[in-house]
Amino acid sequence: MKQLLVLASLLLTAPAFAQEEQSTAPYAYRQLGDPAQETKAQDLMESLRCLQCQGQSIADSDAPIAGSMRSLVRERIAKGEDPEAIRAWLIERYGDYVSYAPQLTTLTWPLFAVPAVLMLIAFLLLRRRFTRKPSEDGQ
Amino acid sequence: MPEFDLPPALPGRPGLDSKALANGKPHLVNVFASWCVPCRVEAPQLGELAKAGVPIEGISVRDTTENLHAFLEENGDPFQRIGADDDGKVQLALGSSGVPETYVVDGRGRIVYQHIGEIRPEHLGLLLEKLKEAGE
Repeated sequence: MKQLLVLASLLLTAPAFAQEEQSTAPYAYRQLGDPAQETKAQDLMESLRCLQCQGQSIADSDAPIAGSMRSLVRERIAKGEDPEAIRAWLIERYGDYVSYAPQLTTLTWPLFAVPAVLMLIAFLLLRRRFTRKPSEDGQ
Repeated sequence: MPEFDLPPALPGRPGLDSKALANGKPHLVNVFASWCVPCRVEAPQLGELAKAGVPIEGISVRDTTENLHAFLEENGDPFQRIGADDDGKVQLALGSSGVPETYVVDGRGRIVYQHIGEIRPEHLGLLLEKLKEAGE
């Protein structure tokens, strides 16, 4: 009975709108034949943001646009293109946002510099604390 | 515009290639899909632009002929040509993250303006202005 109800409820539901089709691009869901190339493509895909499911990489996302992006990556890798050139091509179109690998630019350099500066300050402070002059110790 | 050549999305209607856009006149290129809800919202505005004589070309993204046909039947059909971007490659080459997006393309086939999201009535003035600029 329960199974019948489940079946009946399934029959009653129908999608309200036309659904987005999966990408017809050849390598959306197919790996490259050459394992070395596939590894290269996989590494790049894991560090590119899906434009639709923005918290996921295109390797993780099942959004159709991620399929289009995976195929783009694999097809270009198969043609011998450098992964960083493919990343640059996407950044040119979508901005730094599309890449999970932060680039060093005039805008982002403080992100890299601040931790180094803080480490340096900490080091200097600690050194001062641990190397007190003997005269001070004698008080 | 990146170079591309898309097959027809509907029988009896030409597909779209980048050369057709470089014919000396400005165009609107609308990236859309039948499964896209905001595309329904902008349909009346596209209809108005078409009525005002703006050549509108369509790129339909990851769609089927039946769904596309039903969508145009229901929401109006302002398109001169519709190219089928079933693998989504042209969408990526354009730098479009979703649908709908609309591009003002000048007579030499260069993108001069990108509108992201649906065209609402208040955007019509700006688009017509950009088209006029593109025609100068």
